[in-house]
This record gives sequence, structure tokens and C-alpha cells, in this order.
Amino acid sequence: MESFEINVGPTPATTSGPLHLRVQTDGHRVVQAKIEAGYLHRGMEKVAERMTWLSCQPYMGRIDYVSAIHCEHAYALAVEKLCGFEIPERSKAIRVVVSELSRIASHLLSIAWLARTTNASTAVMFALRDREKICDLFEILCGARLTYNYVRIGGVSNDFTEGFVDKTIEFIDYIVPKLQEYHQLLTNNVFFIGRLAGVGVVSASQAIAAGLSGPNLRASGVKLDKRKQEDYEIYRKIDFSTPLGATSADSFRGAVQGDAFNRYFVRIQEIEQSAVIIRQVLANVPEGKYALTLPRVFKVPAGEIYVSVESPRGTQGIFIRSTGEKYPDRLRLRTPSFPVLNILPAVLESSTLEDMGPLVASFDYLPSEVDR
Amino acid sequence: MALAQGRVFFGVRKNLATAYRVLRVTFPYLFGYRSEYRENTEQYPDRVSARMPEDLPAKVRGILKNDIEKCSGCRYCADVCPVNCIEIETEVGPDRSLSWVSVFDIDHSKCIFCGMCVESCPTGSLIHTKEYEASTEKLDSLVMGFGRGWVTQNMKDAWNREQQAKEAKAEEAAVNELSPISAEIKRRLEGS
Amino acid sequence: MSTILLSEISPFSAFLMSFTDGSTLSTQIFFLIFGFLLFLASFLVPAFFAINYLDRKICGDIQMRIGPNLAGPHGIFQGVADFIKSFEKIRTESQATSGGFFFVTISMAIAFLVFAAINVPVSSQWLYSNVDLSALFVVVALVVSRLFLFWSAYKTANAWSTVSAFNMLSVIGYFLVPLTLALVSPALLVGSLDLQNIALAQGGMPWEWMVFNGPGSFFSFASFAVALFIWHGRAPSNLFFESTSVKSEVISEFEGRRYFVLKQIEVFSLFLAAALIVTVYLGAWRAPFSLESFGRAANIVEACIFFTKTMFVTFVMIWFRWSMPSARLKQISNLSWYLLLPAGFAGVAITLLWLAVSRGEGVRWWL
Repeated sequence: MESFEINVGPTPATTSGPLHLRVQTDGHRVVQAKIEAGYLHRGMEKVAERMTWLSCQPYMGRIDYVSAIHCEHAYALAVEKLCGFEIPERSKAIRVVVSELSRIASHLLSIAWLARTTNASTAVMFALRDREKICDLFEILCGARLTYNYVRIGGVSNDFTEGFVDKTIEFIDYIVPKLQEYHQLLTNNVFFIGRLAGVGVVSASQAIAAGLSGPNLRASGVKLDKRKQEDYEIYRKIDFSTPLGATSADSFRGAVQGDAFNRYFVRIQEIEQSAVIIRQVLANVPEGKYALTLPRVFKVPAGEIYVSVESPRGTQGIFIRSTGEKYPDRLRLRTPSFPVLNILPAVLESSTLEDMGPLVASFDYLPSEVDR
Repeated sequence: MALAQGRVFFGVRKNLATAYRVLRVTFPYLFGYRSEYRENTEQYPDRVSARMPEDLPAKVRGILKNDIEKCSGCRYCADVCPVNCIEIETEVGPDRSLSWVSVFDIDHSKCIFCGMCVESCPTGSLIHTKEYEASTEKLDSLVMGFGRGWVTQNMKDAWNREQQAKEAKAEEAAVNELSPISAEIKRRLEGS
Repeated sequence: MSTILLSEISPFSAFLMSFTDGSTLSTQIFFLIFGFLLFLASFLVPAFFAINYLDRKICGDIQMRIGPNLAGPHGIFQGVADFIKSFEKIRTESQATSGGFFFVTISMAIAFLVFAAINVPVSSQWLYSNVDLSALFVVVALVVSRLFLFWSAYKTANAWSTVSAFNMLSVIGYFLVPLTLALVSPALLVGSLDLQNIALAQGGMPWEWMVFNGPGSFFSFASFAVALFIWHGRAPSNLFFESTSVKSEVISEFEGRRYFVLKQIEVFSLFLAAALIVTVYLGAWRAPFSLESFGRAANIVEACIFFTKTMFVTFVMIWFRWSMPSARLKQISNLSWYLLLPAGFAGVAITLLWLAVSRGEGVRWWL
């Protein structure tokens, strides 16, 4: 049977955004895959060059709209480092709490999309229901459900509002036992494991060569977590673990290190770890100011800097070059989903048509990050 | 391909265990005997929603509103807006003051509801309301104007007339007003 | 003479004709046709309404949504509303799917499903068609209907439906043998492959059902039930009635009213699968109490019992569909080769042993 080209996308049901794959198939198997990205290009980096340092802030939340805190965080850290600001301890603690909440929300959404590709429609709805609760929490805190514009240069935009801390602890108490539902529906589900185990195996060296980071890298067995590696905010003071992909010693499931199932498994364990972090931080939040007072229009001294944080998808990095003006001279975003494009064709070429959907969804590929 | 008998039975046990676990998880949702198992959605807008805009948290970033009486025309909001959706024009007012904001248009089709303008407003005239239902049939209806309007000759004349009336009244009051010595003499003359 | 012939061809028509006094040839033909339409309208169409509604309502309940709630209290008339709406659909046909060929193949696909459905006994006398070896006939009719559906999907030349169509063909290939193998045990125990005879051989009480009639039947029941679960084409084996990003449904090239009619094939398959499981293994229409005093009205009671059981099995199948993820074709075929086939053979072997041990009195050994 001769080769046959199939278009997957630009709006497939595998990612929350447009992704266009041109796939050459030979019957059932995929022979070659070509990726066309760029459907969501909005020119963020160019826009940043004509916005003042403060006005640039809302755009950062829209790079990665699924977990908006992390890009804002990276931007704020970069500018603060360049200016030499030292932010109060309280705002560091607040930033950690919202970062982890945002991480839980993002992982829930990625689980929802992965479940959707395997037609486990119940799990989709459950994950979205739990994500709604986090959106409600953010609504109480900063007024927006999705694009928070909360982490600012010098701190955060406002302190904890009334009821936020109580509701967050309530939510954490709710979600940790609720994860058992996900384990029963998905993690221990023979059909789900059968769909994902052994699919899209990425070895550790392949992952490092491609530049993967975050859960994708940790599922392949490489223990690299920016929260532990780099010393930012108060992560060094918190006791938490970073889950790695289970090795093939986990014979109950038959999953292989670096396959799609492990990428999912790492994410769902990270939700528990984020809950642990939030509980520890909320138990003793230091008193003090929630932000530095900055002038309305300020100029950042000349220089270059690159700062990276651990976003739910991996390493979110920002490079800033300033020439002492009101506007950035160059803002470059290093987004965690971009290296996935490096490895996706190679991984797709050894898979079948049926596996393509779950495979792409297991990388938690977010087109808006890639296209900026 | 020979498959050991044990492997087949292990598969049976796994399949049955999966089926049992999955059905047990979704079973409560079928009958909804606790509130956490009932609907999480509501029919909008055909049925009246249980949540009204007033129930939203205080910090919600809804449609913007500017109180033009307090607005000083400082343009901080227009400067900080990331999408340049606020248009401000000021001119000398009919009362010859310098804070007559003639045009204050917010184009809500461009607004990204980031809240930077509200934060930067020094007088507190620009606020977020809790309204979020702003669908209109024409794109132009989304431009909301809060300005006082361009100064016209009529306005100036009206203000001038007002000023003249006030001055006339004050003069009259001043004419009828005596100096303290004259007031004392008048009082003694009238035999108080 | 002629009435006996009619009661052999179509007991339901004979039942209807027994209300009148005539027995001429024209009366018989009239009741044959009238009985067919009545059978379809009163037993199968309400089942569709119920299943269409149940499917969406259960989906909504499990996913914490409201589900249909506008057509009637709690939306119970949703199926009727959809049915009426289908007549309003404007008839547009694409060139690729117009023409006599598609009309013929689609009609044959539906016709064979109907042929299979009318052989299922609803009660002791309400059985429209009583062909010999009706259990086997039903399986063959199901297969032929699927083959016609495959043919029409293949001819539309839509690449994505073709993937689904070949999946459907694979399922036919994998599951034909387990299906027929699972019918061997009841045939051995009852001595006949007629669905009505199998139903008559069971009793009303649960322990009198075929599934408990000897140890081998249980394996056969498991094999039959699993095979039918997968055969009817919904989760966990959404291989041809669902769309994903790389395949679409077999019927996706058809539009408007034709799509609605073909979508009912999915509902039909679900209903037939449940009805078959109930008839062969779960006691069919047999009542646990005596119905002598009812006379002809006994049929109503038996029909109610049959539909209750079928709806219960349908409910379980719909529950499964909205809870489970879907499996790959390889997993399904592994299930068939490594699980169902051995289970089917085991069932037959144990039944043979059981018959040998109980000296041929397998049925109703509890008496």
C-alpha cells in the first residue's frame, strides 16, 4: 500500500491550541511526520519592545495561558535581578503559593486533554471541575480566572484577599483525596495503561539532546528540577520531592521509562507535591509588605540577563536586554514546549495512527508557548 | 505465539478489577445522593443563574467605569494600558479650569481587563464594575464614553451667564451691605 | 391449515389474527404486514427513544452536567423530539454519496438489522419471525448488515471513514468465532438453536436462567457478553462509531436525515446486543410466577419483563461507555484471541462433560 498523507489539525483534539501535523502513513504505521507550527503567533516579543516595563506585564500572562503565573514570574524575576531589587519575604511566599496553585491547574488540564484523546470522557470532566475550583480561588485573589496579571515587578499586585487562605486550604484538603478518583479511573485502568504504556518512548539521552525539560524530562529518568537547582523564592526552605518516571521494575503496569504513561504519571504525582508545598508555605507565611513601591515609570539599568523558572511544562526562561530606556530593548522567551518540536517527529515516526493522539497529548504541548 | 496460562488469568483479573474500579467511581454520580455528585453546571442564560454579578468577589475585573467628576485627566491610565484602548482628550473647560476631560473613551473590544489602568488611577475615579455581560450587536457599541464632551460656545456662554448672574447677586448683596460703623449708626437711629 | 402455517411463519401475526375470525389468504397477508409494522412501532421504536434519551442523560449525570431537560419533565421525550426533528432536515446530498448504490446498501444494512431484530422473542407469543436456527440467523444477519455498512463506507472514498470501516471489518473477523462458539453451550443444553426454544428452556427465577445452567454456561455467558459488548461498537471499543483526530465515523459522509437514520444503527446494535444477552442467557421473557390466569394478557407481562431486563443490560452498557477509555485495535484483538476463544472452548468442553456426567439431563437439573 502506498504512502498516504493525512492532515492532523490544525485543530486536533490533542492539544489546547492549533497544531498542524502532516503525517505520511503506510497503512497503519506512521512513516514520516512534519510539523507546522505558528498558527498562534501574536508577535509577543516584538510587542514587548514598544511597551513600558510595567505595561509589558499583562502580555506575559498570555504566553502560557494555562498556567499564567509562571511566565509573569520569570519576567518579574528577570527585571528585579537586572535592577538589583530585593523583594520582601512575604511576597516570595505568596509567589510560591500561587505558582504551585497554577501548576496544579495546568497539570489537571493536561490530564484532561490526555484523557480526552483516549475517550475517557468522565476523567475529562472531573479534571475540568477541579480546575474550575482553582479558577475560583484566583478570582477571589486577583479578580481574573485565567490571565492573572498578579505577579509584578517588585512583588505581587495585592496581598491575600479575605477568604483566600481559608479557601485554598479547603481546596487542598479536597483535592488530595480526590486524586484517588483519578487513580481509579486512569492510573490503574488497564485500558488506559494499555493505550499509553510503551508509546512514544524517549530515552534520557534523547530527551537531553532535544532540550526537553520539566515532567517530560523527569519521566525519562533525568532528575532535573529548576525549583531545586536554582535558588529562587523560598523553594530551598521547603521540603518536597520531585517524582521521576517509574522504571520498568514497575511490572504491574508494564510501563517503560520515558513513555507516555510515565509522563502522565509524573504529572499526577506532581499535583500531590504541589499540595504539600502549598500546605507548608501557608502554615507560616512571613509578615511584611507584599511588594516594593516602584515609581510609575521607571527605567531599568542597561544590561542583559537570563532567568528561568520551573513552569508546569518545563523550563520557562526569559532573556532581557535593556539599554536604560523606558522600554525593553529585546525580550526573548524560551518556552518549555518548543523543544518538544525537536523530538516529536522522531517519536511519531515509530508509532501508529491510533497512538498519535495520546502521544502528542502526553507531551503537554502548548501551541501558544511555541508560537508566542 | 504461546501465552502462558497464568498471563491470561492475570489479564482477566486486571480487566475485571479495572471494570469494577471504574464503575465504582462513576456510580455515585449517576444517582447524585450527595451535593458533590450533582451537577456542576447550570443552564445559561435560559434559566436564571444562581449566581448574580453581585455575588462575584470584590476584586473581579469587569467592565470599566470612570467617574468623570473625580477624574483629573492625568492620562496615567492611557499611558499604562498595554493595548492602548483608552482615548483621552482634555481641553480648557468652559469654567477655564484645566481638568475638563472632553473625551474619555474606553474601547472594550480591545480591553484585556488586566487592571493596570485602575491600579494607576491616582484619584480612584476609574474602577472595575462587576458586570461581565456586555455583548452588543455592533462593534462600535463597545466603545464606552465617559467624557464630558467637547466644549462648545453654548457651554461657554452658559457658564459666563451663570457667572454674571452670580456676580450680580453678589453686587446686590454688597450694595445692601453697610460698613460696620454705618450699621451701628443705623441700628442706633432705629432705636434698638 | 393456513393458520398453522401463519403461526409458524409469524406467531405475532397469528396472535393478532386470532382476535378476528377470518383466516383467508388475504387476511393472513394483511396481518403479516400489519404485524410487522406494529411490531416495529411498538417494540423497537420506543426502545430507540428510551436509549437515545438514556444515553445522553447518563452521560450528563456522570459528567456532572444537566443533560437533556427541556423536552418533557427531566427531558424524557428527548428521543421523540430528535425523531420529529429529523423530518425537518433539508435533504442535501454530496455528489460522492448520492445515487442508487448508497440507497441500496444503506437499505440492506438496515434491513438485515431489522431481520435480526424481529427474531428476538418479546414474549411467548409475540415473536414476529421464527426462522429455524434463529440464534445463528441473528448472528449472520448482524454480520451481513455490517458488511453492507462497510461497503457503503468504503465506496464513499473518504480516507478517514475508511479507517473506521476497516476497523469494523476487523471486529467482525475477530468476534464472529467467539460469538458463535458461545451459542454452542445453550444449543447443547437445550437441543435447539431457536431463540424461542432457548427462551422456553429457561425459567423465571434467576437460578433457572441459562447462565447458571451448568458450570460451562458461565464461561460461555462471559464470552458471549464480552463479545457483544465489543461488537456493538461503543466504549471501550470505539473503533468505528466514534471520531478521533485520525478517523471519523463510518457514517460521517452521509448527511442530514440519512445520518440520523444511520446513527440509529448504533442504537440498534446496542439494543440488539442487550436483547441477545438477555434472551440467550438471562431468562428472556420468562416470568418467575405463574401466568395461567392472565390468558392472552400474559404476553404483556412477559414483554414488560423482557424489556426491563434488556433496559438493565443497556444501562450497564451505557454506563460502561461513559466511564471507560477506549482501547486500541491490538488490545481488542488480543482480548478476542487470548481470552474469549479459550473461554468459549472451555465453556463448550465443560458443558459436554456436564452433559455426560448428568446423563443428558443438563437442563433443569434442579428439578
